[in-house]
Amino acid sequence: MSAIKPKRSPSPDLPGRYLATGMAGFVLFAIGVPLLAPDLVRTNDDPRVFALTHVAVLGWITMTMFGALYQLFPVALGGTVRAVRLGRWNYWVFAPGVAGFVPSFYFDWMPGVAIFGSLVVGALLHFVSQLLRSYPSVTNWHPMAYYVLAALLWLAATIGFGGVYALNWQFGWFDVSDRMLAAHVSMGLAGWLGLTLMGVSYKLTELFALAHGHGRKLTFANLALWNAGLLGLVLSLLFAPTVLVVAFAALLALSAALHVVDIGLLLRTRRRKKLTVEQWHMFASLGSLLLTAGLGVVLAAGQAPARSWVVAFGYAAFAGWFGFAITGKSYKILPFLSWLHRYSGTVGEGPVPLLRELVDERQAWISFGLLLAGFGGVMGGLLLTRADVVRAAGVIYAAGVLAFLLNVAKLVVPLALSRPAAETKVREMTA
Amino acid sequence: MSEVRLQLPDDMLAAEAWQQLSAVYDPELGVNLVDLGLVYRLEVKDGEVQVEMTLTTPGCPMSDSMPDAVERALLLVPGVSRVGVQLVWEPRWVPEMMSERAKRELGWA
Repeated sequence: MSAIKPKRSPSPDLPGRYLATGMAGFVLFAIGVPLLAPDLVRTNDDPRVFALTHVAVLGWITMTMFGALYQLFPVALGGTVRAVRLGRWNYWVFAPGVAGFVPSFYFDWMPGVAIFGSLVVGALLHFVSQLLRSYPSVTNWHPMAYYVLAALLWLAATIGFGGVYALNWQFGWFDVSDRMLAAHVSMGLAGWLGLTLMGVSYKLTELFALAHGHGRKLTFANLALWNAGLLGLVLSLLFAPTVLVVAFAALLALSAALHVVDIGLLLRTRRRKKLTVEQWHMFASLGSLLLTAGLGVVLAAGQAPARSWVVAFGYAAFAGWFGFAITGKSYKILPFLSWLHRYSGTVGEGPVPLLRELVDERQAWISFGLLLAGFGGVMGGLLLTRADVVRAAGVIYAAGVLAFLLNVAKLVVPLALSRPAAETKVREMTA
Repeated sequence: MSEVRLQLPDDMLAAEAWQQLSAVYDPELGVNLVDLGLVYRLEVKDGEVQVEMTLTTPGCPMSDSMPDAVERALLLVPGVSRVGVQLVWEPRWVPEMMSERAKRELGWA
């Protein structure tokens, strides 16, 4: 029999601080949509729309993914995150960077964009370096490990592109075209955020649904297809005619569809038959992925009837694909972190709550309903160029966010306020 | 006052230990470790308990907590002086190892 040596997990305050700050970004995004409704239906090329975009990408989604990866890297991949103390410091560079970067965009203050953008770039690069240096310690080469590895490389490329644009603002080397920006967005969205979410989804779906026996051929084939499609899309956006851009956007859409099929096949092997509220969030997320991919093809072909369709594309990705996934998985990850923090030291000595008892399921369903209705309304308003619809639906979505936050506040607040605890001890267990 | 040490036959102690582990629940699944089939071996010798256990999957988030929980639970059994827990991945756990009760609770059977 082989035995394992459990790895050193960072104490919950490390992922907790990123996850809690991500919630703040989520709130700002939810409030921003109805407030900026007239701008959103008018154009995507507006400083305030850029600000809202970066609240979503950096303040909410990336912040959350950092927290999730700090938590999952040791427990799901059996690796040891290197230089955990630097990870804590990284937060104090990243969070203020984002907090300055977003208002700088909002007020169109370019020196602020440059100063705070530098902090953001530094923090992102440090995170990439920290995780890449931790990879040799991975012991469980689950598909998630490969997806996240590819995502980190795309994040590095996204940062490189963003850095060149930032310098170009200052020095004016070349004219930045919509296509160049689209290449930057594609790398960040499909490369960094998309691959991370896909990889994490495979692992968490297996865990939470107790899914066993799902083959991994399609999972790995799709990883190759997605990366090939994305690389082709980026290169064709920069150097090739529109027909190739459309072809690679369609390839990515095909890959998105295959991912949905693959997750469906994975779920068919689940031993835990009852579908949970988290899984319904995942279905909404996967549906939004297909919507995002479809809109991406329309945009690539230059067939969007209004600029608001570009905004709709972003909203489908942020609020739909990533938003539903993050919200749903929060109902699993946050109770786990809270449980680990509060009860892991006493389990075995007496009764402790189950994870599902730490969140109010009814309230989670209410939140889901509001988020779904709000999301659908905002999408409709953007596609029809109706600011009033976007505003009304955005308020419904924000109400869903509020219901979500009230539900998880009792888990997040103690974690956010907790002081760094001693790292989980390493138990030496050898065969 | 001198300490009174309870001494039970090893097989009785083993039965007590299994019983004790039936009260330790996987907090995600809501099923106890014994019904989940996660405890592969439990042996008692002179009050010392050796356990071989697994988890539902490598990379289970509970991999840091469950072995500790088993150790704590068994140390509460009167007569147990020492506990060793070994976490193993072979044979790999499969859902068929669950008891009928666990399968029912998860909606599988």
